[in-house]
Amino acid sequence: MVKRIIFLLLIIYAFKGCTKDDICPPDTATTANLVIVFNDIANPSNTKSVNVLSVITDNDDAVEIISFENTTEIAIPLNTTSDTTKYLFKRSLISSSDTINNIDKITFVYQRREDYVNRACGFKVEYFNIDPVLESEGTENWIQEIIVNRDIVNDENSAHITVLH
Amino acid sequence: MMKIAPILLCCISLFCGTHSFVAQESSNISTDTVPKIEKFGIRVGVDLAKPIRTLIEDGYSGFEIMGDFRVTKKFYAAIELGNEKKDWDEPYISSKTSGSYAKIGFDYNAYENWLGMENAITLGLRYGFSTFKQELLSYRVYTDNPAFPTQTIYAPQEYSGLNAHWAEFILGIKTEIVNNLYLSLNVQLKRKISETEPENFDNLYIPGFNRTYDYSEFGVGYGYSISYLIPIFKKTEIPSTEEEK
Repeated sequence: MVKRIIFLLLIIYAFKGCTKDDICPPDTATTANLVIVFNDIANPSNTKSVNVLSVITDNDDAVEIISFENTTEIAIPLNTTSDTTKYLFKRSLISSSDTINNIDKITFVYQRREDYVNRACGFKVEYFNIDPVLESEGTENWIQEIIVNRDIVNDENSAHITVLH
Repeated sequence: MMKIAPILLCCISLFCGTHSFVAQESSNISTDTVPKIEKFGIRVGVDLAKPIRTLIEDGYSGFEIMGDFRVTKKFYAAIELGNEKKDWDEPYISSKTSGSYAKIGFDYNAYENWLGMENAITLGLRYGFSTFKQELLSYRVYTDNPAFPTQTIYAPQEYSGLNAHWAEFILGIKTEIVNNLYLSLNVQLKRKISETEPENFDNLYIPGFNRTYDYSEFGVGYGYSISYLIPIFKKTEIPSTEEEK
């Protein structure tokens, strides 16, 4: 009887060492991306895809975040350590003879708050009062208007910003 | 290194357990007709597992003292008091918890002793209470995008005056190794009843409860202790059922 109980205890110890919830599961809601949809300037309630779009960070080591063909919705990260994030939105019109690139600069200004997630994922950042500022180039901008739908970025369920072009 | 300790303790108790088992059989022969003196009183002890962990495990220190008192033949009132410090050092969170705890409850001895023996297989229930503080030493913001890499932020914050309550089920064995000296081994299953959580952080460790789990209210623990029975009361008992064996 005593031996049997000790054997049982030994099994419990063996399993105790295996419990692991210290790896951040990929489906955990951590820092959310900014969701942008592209709509038609002539008919703002209709989506209008951007033929070839690439989004590049506007800093010293410019990183291309995404590159899409015929996209109407994108999700891009915001800087977790700064209150501004600068992006270059490059639209490329490719015809049979040549490629016309049009780059527009958008600076996202916001406030941040760090929220605890769990022991494995650490913290996430919630963004407030998102304010996109388009650098005006007169008639050269391909982006006509930017509408803020939701100014708090805490999830990716629907678009935060609508870009009209 | 950390994993060896519990196995080692199990082996020691395996030896102690069989040792006393053999001793019981031999003593049984000589005591079947003689009336035996039953002794009971306050049993006091210390947990051996916690000082051993303190020595071999980095970022842990703790001790626990305990006492029990026989209320009826089968039931013992029991109490454990302790203090623990534990570091949590992981890639995204680094923290330190320290505090004291008390556990109050009873043990039920489910083991039928030969007369004069004081061994026990106990089922116990406890109410646990802990007051502690937590320090968040450093943390990182989780991001899966490499465009804006995050760095570990060192901004120590202290959350003090925290407390937690839990209920605990204990399964244990106890053997008398020499006169009035007992070795016992137990495993504990705990369930949190309530806790004060620090603002924008969590209780990663609760003294007495052990580590918490993100998606569960349960916790586990173990103890390996040595205790001494101070025999205050002595009662002569006439063997009745024992003769039939």
